[in-house]
Amino acid sequence: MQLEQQKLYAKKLRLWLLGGLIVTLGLAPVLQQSLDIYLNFRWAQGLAEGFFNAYDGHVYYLDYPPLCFPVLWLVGKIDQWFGLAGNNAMIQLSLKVMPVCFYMLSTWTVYLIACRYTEPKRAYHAALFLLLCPTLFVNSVYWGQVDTVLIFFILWFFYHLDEGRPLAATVVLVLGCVMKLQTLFFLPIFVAYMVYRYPIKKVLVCGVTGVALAYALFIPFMIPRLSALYAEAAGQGLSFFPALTQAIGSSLDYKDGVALPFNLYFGSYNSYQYAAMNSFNLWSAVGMNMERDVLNAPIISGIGWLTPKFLGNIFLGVSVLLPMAYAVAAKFKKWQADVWMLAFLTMQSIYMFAAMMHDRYQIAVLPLLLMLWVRKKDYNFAVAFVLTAVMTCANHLMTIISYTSNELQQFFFYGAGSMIYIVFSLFNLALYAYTVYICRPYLFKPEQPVEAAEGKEE
Amino acid sequence: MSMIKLKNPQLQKEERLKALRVFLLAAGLGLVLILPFIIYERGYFFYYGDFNVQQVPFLRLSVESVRSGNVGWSWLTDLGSDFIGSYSFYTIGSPFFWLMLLFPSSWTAALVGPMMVLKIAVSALGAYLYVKRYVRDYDYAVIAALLYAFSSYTVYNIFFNHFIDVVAMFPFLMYAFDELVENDRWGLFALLTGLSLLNNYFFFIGEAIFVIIYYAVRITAPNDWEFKLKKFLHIAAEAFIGVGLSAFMILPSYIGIADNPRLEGFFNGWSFFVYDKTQRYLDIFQSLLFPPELPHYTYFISDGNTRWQSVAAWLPLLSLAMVIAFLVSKKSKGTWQKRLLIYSFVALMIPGLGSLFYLMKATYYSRWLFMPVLIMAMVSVKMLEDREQDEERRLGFKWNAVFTLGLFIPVALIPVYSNNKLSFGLHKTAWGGTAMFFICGAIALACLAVSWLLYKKFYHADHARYKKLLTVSLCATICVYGLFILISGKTSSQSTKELLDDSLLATEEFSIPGEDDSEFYRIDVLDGMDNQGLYWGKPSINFFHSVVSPSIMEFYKGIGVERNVATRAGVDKLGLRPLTSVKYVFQKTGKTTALSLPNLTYIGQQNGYDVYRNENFIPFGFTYDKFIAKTILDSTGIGKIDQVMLQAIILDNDQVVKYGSMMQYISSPATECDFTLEGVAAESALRRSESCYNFSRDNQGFSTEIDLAADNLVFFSLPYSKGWSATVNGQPVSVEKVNLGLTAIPAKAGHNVIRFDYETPGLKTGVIVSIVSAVLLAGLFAAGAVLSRKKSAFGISTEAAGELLSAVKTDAANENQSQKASETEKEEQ
Repeated sequence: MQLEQQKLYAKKLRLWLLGGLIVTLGLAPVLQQSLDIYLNFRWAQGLAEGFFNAYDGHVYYLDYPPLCFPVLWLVGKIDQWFGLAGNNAMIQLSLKVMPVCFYMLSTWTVYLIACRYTEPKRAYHAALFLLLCPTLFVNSVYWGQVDTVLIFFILWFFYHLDEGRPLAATVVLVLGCVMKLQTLFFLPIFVAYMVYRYPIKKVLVCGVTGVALAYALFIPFMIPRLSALYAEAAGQGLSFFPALTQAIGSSLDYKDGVALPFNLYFGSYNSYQYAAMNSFNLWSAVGMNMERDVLNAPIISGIGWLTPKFLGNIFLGVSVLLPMAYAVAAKFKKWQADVWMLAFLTMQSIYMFAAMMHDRYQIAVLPLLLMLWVRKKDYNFAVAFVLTAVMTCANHLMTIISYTSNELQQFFFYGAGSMIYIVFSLFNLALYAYTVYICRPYLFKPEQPVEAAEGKEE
Repeated sequence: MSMIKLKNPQLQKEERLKALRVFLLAAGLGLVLILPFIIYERGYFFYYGDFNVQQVPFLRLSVESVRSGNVGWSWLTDLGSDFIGSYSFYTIGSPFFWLMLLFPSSWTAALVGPMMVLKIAVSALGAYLYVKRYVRDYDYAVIAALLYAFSSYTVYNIFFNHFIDVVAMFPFLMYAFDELVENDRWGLFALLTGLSLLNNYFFFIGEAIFVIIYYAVRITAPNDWEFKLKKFLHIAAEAFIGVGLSAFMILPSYIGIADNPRLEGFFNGWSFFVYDKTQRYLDIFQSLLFPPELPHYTYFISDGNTRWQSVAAWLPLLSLAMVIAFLVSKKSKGTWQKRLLIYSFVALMIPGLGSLFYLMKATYYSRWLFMPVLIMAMVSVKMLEDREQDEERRLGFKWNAVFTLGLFIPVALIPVYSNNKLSFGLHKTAWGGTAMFFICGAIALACLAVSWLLYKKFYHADHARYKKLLTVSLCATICVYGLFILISGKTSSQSTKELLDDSLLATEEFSIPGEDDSEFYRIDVLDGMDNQGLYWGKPSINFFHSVVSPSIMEFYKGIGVERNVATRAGVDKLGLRPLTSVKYVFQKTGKTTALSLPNLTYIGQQNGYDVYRNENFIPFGFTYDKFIAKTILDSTGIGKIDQVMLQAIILDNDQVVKYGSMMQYISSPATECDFTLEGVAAESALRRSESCYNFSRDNQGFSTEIDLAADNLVFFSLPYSKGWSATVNGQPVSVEKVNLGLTAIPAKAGHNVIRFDYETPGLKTGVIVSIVSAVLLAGLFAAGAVLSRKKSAFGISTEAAGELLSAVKTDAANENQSQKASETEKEEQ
């Protein structure tokens, strides 16, 4: 019966997805915008000229990790073969294909995973929630961002983690991180949950595996720099190992040397020195959206170190350490820690309180809220999803409108229009408080058999 | 008939809790509307227009003046004005202002935002107290309170700030009136009458007329109040005592504004019956069916001549739906609410009737709409509370939708062919008008949809949930539309730099290089913010204030400067600045108007302005060697009076007889006066040569000295008032009204120490009347307390107990009847 239902709803969903794919791919070239898309196109062109040496500077302002390169490379190659440069519609379409596909894949993933936790009807509705979420539509079909890739990876990552497959989760997390930088925000949850659930040995094995895999994925992109430096060292008459050692040492001076992953992740984090970048969070709520000067200015005169950046980092640290502390406490107090909830609260907290947050970073909590709804069968999470979807969609639209013209940019960033950011941010903070409130009863529940606790029917 | 409720402790507790909840809920919603502004302006609540240039600096000036005891003459108000007369309209009569006095003066500007939140919360509380008498379910009284406190009238009039004080106090006045008539509660109505009059005398006139109509309607409506002479006399007595209570402020204010030209003229002829602009009628419908337009920008119905006029009476979420339902309901036939609403609507459509709320004065506004809004809120919840009237409610929803769409669609879509160009829609398109129009329409239409869906899905199925969802939706609507309107208005605001860095926060450090503290001077601000001088604590001839001394009005009218709500004298008035002791001219940086003024020396930049010193400056207090009789001046019909005044003092006939011998006379100003730039400079130098020095002022007036070569009149560019008295070398002298509204005193040859003292006209009499009234009020309360002891153990009078008994019987009979009817209906089915 359950299986039949599952198949029935799967069939329905496939129709939705087919329709969705047609509509989104049909609209992708029509809904044109220039925000980021031409930067991505330049990356594609650059990658087509040199793939593994992407980080040597020949690709303009490249700050994405390498796993999304193949798609960009393909677009670049298509441009070389057919000349896309003058065809705006084709540029838009070619660069939006990947996010749109991941949009559909994420929807399907929600259904698949939700079916493990709840009845097919609810799983189907959860998938439709995601498919019809205007934020994802704007994000992928209009803006051409790859946040749907992040959603896809975090869904599978947490699913494996929750299902007791830490190694698979590690691999997914690493792939996610190497494809979409912001996946890294979930690393602390991974560590916290591993500590909560598994013996230290397993934690270490997964950790080492993850680091090794990540590094391995980066190595091809370090090789061009290392080879050049090795050749230079070898040219100085050094033998293999000394030359290699010297090349590795010298490569630290380059972005694409052995420290490439670190340069990429931390360099990217620090490259946007604004208190908030169009994000509806604490910093926008206090009127600091797109404020660069205040980031390192004392909040209270006379206390020079107490800057928004410092405070933001403290909040970031607390947002990361709190789930870890909670995981440790849960382990000893025998609380029933839910990794989805932990992830949701952590990501929400980071977004709401850390400085230098981008507008799009809240999008990651949407699938987590959906999964909380299907797992807890608590309609509060569905309400929270709808409200968060409204908030994230408004955030996307505000950002896009702001960049329409210089006048609008001035108005929304520094004029009376910035009050809209304040208003939305205050509402988002209230929404954050609401979501914490609805999570609270589940956080300190005593441990019980997983099946009973999560209402599994199988 | 109104409900009578038993005053048992449980009920009282429930009432108090609900009252607290409505207060906190409204405060929370108010905070949602105001907090973004406070954050944006780094701790202060600034809006735009009048709010920024009048309300904030007026409040600060008033707090500083009262706290320092300087409540006689306000030197910072235009050329100088009576403090009570000038600020009783804006600030000092409001209880919220009195609350501000508890805080340091430096906090005043920062308190404006929190005080606005408080006012809104108080207005909701008042509305709750008033409405709960008329509903059985207090949850509906909460909804009515929110509808009133957050109606479009409130949101629109945040722009005027002090109007919200009136919105806050009015329901309490109505509550007190009901208490007096229905529960025979003594004293409260008198107190509220006094407070309302103090709060704002302009609005009080409308409130008093509304209460009279309210009483008249209720005693003539069937099954409502009965007319009893004893009760009527009691009401009248309390009203008089209330008016007397406020005499200490109202009497000086009356004297102060009696000659204000804005009070001249009455509605008559066609203007009594119809508006001069046809669009005004559509604007009235817009105001009832949609969120408000902006005070300065009528984007929805353009050219209706309704800017600044407070045409706004939309109830959030419910709009007119339940009001229509009430009006079509059979149950409402003959009720006082229906009659009052119909009267209000007619008064809204016929300007003459509407102007009744302002004593038929020709300067007409729709500022009285907050009163019918309270009744609209009440009948809306009454309709929702009565479960039986489903058909009427559906009709209400339907016709509300028809009216809303009927206005929205044509204004949105009608093709307009103009200047060889086809466009669609009648709404304004400039300055984001199109976006605002459609957002405004979208909010109204969303309200239609949400209110209908809630009703359809939950009203009968789960009424408790319906009330909850209605309240939540109402709160959401208030947040969305309130923020939309307020933020839209804010886009017309001065920048934060202008308001804070260059104005509010610049006061402390404001000093002009080379300025002399022992000298009185004024400034002029060109192309800048109105009342900029007030922010800097400098007397300025650029001043935006409607209720200044009538002498100022007379003076500016005399020299040909329009002085309606503000003084903004053009640079063509070459004599004005020397005559009024303007020493510094502040020209907004980047603008060049000041270059048209003669003899200015650039001395630097300050707070966003280029600062010039006026080399034609004449110190405050100087003499003339010529005079001109006013009758001769009038007969010549010459312009440039300001320049004539620089050369000759204008005296009336009596003054000519008294002082004419001290000076030469001018009989032909056109030939005898020098109107060239050189002439202005030369005459300014002459006046300066015999002028006052050692000026000092205090809370009672000012002192100065002058050395005269011969007996003469010493002229001060000080608005004449009967409150001024003067001594020269300790001897009293008469204060003369010269130069079309300004002041002069006679002085002897040699050294003169001049002392001017100011006593607010009418203040002493007013205080005596207020004290007597306060004693009478105390007597009223005492008498009321004695009478209340006679009340029954249930906490109601024997008279009320009788009414209660009959009410209970009637209710029971009605209930039985309706039960039987429904049973019969079921059987028939």
